[in-house]
Amino acid sequence: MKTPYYIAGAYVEITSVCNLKCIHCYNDSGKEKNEISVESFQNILAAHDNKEFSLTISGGEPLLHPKFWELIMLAKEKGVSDILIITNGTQITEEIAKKFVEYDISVQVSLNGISEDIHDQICGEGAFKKTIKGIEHLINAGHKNIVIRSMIAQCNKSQLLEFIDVMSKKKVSTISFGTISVQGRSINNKNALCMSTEENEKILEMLKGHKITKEAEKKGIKIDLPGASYNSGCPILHPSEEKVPITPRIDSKGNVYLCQNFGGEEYSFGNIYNDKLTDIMDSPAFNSFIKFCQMSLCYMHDCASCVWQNVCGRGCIAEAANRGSLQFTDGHCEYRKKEYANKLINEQT
Amino acid sequence: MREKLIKNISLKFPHQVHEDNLIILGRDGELSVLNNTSKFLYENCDNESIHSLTRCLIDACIEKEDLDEKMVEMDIVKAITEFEKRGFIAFQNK
Ligand SMILES: C[S@@+](CC[C@H](N)C(=O)[O-])C[C@H]1O[C@@H](n2cnc3c(N)ncnc32)[C@H](O)[C@@H]1O
Ligand code: SF4
Ligand code: SF4
Repeated sequence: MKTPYYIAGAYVEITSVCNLKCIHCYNDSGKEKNEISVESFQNILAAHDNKEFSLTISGGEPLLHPKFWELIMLAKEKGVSDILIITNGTQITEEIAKKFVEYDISVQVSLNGISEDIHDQICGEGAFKKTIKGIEHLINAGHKNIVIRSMIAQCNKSQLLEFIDVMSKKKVSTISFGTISVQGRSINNKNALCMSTEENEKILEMLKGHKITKEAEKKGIKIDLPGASYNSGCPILHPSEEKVPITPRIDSKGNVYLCQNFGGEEYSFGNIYNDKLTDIMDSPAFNSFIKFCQMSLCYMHDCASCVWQNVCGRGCIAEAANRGSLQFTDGHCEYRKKEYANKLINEQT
Repeated sequence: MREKLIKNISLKFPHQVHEDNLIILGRDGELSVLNNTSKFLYENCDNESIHSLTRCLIDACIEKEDLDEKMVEMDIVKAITEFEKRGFIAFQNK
C-alpha cells in the first residue's frame, strides 16, 4: 500500500448461513445465503505478503461453508500461519477438533452464558449443550489455543465471574469478553442486551480487579477484557508518523469495510469479487472513503458546542455510522466528556 | 462607568458543568476550569457590580461571620479580571 497504512490481516465472514439465530447477532446471520467463493478468497490471500498477517474466519457459522477446508488449505498453502476461526462451536465434532489441532488453527468459541438458560436465551434453545460439547471435543483433542468468548450483556452480567471461574477450570487458553455493538438483531433486543457506557465500564473495572480473575490469570489463562467500551478517536483516521495497521472486514457478499465495526453496504469501498484486496486498499475509492470519514469528523453536530472539540478524536466513526448518521457521534459522549473533565481537573490540581 | 456593570456573555462559549466545576472553551481555544466559587461568580455576575457581587457571594456562604468583605472583594476583582482577560465577561460601557 502506498498510503500511510498497511494490511495487517483480514476479518472474513465466509458465509451468512447459520444454524443459530442469536438475538444479538450484528450480522442478522441465517437470513440470507451468501458465501465467499474460492476464487474471491484468493483475492484476499493476495494481501499476504508480509509476516504480520492474521486471518480471522467468521460468518454466519464458518463451519457451514461447504468448502471450509478448501479455504483453509488455500490459506495454509499461501503461508498464512496465523489463522483464527470464530465459531459457535455447535458443529465441532471429534474429527473437526483433531483437524484444528493438526493444522494449528486457533479457535474462538462463542459462549454467551455459563448456564444453559442464559446462553439459550441469547442463542436459542439447545445451543448451550451443543456448544459445550464442541468445546469438550477441542479440549479432548489437546487443542492448545482455545478462546472462549462471551458478550457482556444485560441478561448475563450477573454471572460473568462464575463464567471465568467455571471456564478457567477447563483447559482453555483465553477467556475473552466483548461489549455489544448495536447492529443487526441486537437493535430489536436492546432491553435484554444493552447497557450504558457507564455500566459497561463499571463491570469491566469489577472484573479486572476481582480475585477470581486474578486466580484464573495465575493459572496461565489470559483474561481478555475489552479496553474502554468507548474510545477518544479512531487510530485509522488520525494516522501517526508510523504506518497504521488495517484489518479490513469482508462480508459474505465480498464487500470490504475499514474495520469489523463497519456495517451497511453504503460504507463499503470495494468488493473482492471484483478486485484483489491489495488493489482495493490502494484504490481511489479507499482514499475517498478515508477522506469522507475525516471530513465527517469535522462536521458532527454535537461537537460544535462541545468544550472538547479541539482535543477529542470524535470516538468511533463506525459506531456513529451504525447509529444512523455520521452527523452524530458514537453515543459515548456523556461518558467521554466526564473522563476528559476528570483528567483535566486532575492535571490542574 | 466601567466598574459598575458586568455583562455575562457566557453562552457564546462551549461549556460543560462537571460536578462543582464549570469548564469553558475560550475564544483562544484554551480550556478553563472554574471551581465552585468561580463558577458561582461567573453564573451570577450578569448585570452586577463588583460590590453587589461581593454581597451576593457572602450571602450565599454558610459561615458569613468569618468573612472579611474587603478581602472577598479583592478576590472577586482578581477572578473577574481573569474572566475578562479570557473573554468570558465584559463590562458594560455605561
Ligand atoms: C457474528 S459471529 C460469527 C461467528 C460464529 N457464528 C459465532 O457465533 O461465533 C462472530 C462473533 O460476533 C459476536 N457478535 C454477534 N453480534 C454481536 C454484536 N451485536 N455485538 C458484538 N458482538 C457480536 C458473536 O457473539 C461472535 O462472538
Ligand atoms: S452470533 Fe454467530 S452463531 Fe449467533 S446467529 Fe450470529 S453468526 Fe450465528
Ligand atoms: S461531542 Fe462527543 S465526540 Fe464531539 S468533541 Fe464532544 S466528546 Fe468528542
